[in-house]
Amino acid sequence: MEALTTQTGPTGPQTVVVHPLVLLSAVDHYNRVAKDTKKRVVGVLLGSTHRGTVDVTNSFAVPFEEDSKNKDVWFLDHNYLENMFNMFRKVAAKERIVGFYSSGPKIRPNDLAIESLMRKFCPSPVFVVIDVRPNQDEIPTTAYRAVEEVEGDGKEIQRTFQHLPSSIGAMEAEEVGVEHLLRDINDPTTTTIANQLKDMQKYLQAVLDGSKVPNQQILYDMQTMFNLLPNLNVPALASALIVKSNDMHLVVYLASLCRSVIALHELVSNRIQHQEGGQEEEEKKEEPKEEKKDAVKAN
Amino acid sequence: MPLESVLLLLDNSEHSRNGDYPPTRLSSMVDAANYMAGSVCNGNPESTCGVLSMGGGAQLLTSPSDNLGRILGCMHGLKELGDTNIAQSVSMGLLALKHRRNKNGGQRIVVFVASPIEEVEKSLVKVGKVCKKNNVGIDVVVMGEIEQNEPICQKMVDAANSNDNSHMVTVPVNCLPSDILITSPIGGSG
Repeated sequence: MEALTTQTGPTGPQTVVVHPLVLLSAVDHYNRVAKDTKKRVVGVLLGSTHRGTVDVTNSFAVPFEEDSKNKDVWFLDHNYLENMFNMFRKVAAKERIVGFYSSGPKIRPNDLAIESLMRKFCPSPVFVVIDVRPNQDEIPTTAYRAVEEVEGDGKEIQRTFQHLPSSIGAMEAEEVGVEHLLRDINDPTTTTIANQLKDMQKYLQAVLDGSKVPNQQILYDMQTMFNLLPNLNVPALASALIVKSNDMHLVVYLASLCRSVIALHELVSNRIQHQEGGQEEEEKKEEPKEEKKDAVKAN
Repeated sequence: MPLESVLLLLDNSEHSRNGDYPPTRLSSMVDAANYMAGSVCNGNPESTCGVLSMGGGAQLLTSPSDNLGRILGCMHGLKELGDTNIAQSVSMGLLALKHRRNKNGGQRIVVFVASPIEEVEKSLVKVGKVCKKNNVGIDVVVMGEIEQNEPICQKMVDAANSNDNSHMVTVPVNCLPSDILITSPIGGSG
């Protein structure tokens, strides 16, 4: 399964989309194995590649260990990897090995060696560093791929990691699942629009006070955002809005008026019906009473 | 034969091209390693054997497994390249043995040395002591460069020896290492 060429440039992976399930698995892996230690965990990424976009849909962990003192000494169980992948293939045949992940938080020198091992399973593996630390500001994934660079004097071909843009994406079913999970967490620090607006206000205040250097790009973006808000001071717009809402109110008023008139009408006719029915009953009751009286008189 | 996990360290450095052990040092080494793997896996159904190549940077070819076909397959097509770093390879072997499936049974590392040792003797003795601490026996098979390597390897074996689990065997020129191994304490009795 060894690939002869590494796909780089326009034919290799260009962007990486990581699904939420992968993030969850990686964090769970870290919590199981190396929580509160300085060690990191490594696992394999499964998914598919389409026109330069690598879609990472699933992942699994592999036994991995490295010597903290000697950076060249590390161990990754190949047999486990192959057996596990064969089992996963039985469940979802379309998923292929597309790369590997590490809990980082940064790249270590062994990663090049791990990448050359993964090249046996996949022509151009992507390496994603998933930051499992909580309360980080940016998205937790950073993606890399290995490219060959010729050294300065043309002697050796060195492999180094080149950064790839990555994003978090999900299919509809996954989005529903994530939303469900988030609903249970009433975490005040999760980003909502209100919090983001507060952050913007803090930033602008800091720029005014002089504690922050104004970043032109941020200010341009904010200006564009405010430009997109509609201007409600135009009289034509205001009158149009008012006319429309008045029309709506008129219709609602008329409709409720009709309803109340109809209801009263029904009430009155109901009353009449009952009154007539009551008179008939009274007459019926009086007749037998009169008959009784007649009968008593006769006796 | 008792249950054990063995890691074979093959020396596929450039020195293994030498033809003083017919046909080349590397081929006779691979033959001997095949014999070792066979005797380990057939001796006990739960014994496992792994292979690590030392030339050009230590690389684990297969983690300890009981599948003889897999072990033989990964040794096939091994090329000679680079130099060997015995201390690093033995450390990697220790890590690999730490992650073996069956935690019972003895652990052993069999090192085939076929190139002049460039390392400092102290580092080899240090790694031998780590093996002793982890109760891992080191067996060294010295082929070629005998006068230079023998004393250094003997020091390493002595550092790792506890209850006679580490040995050193020298293969004289033009002999087959597998023949020597069969009659030695390394291959014969484990």
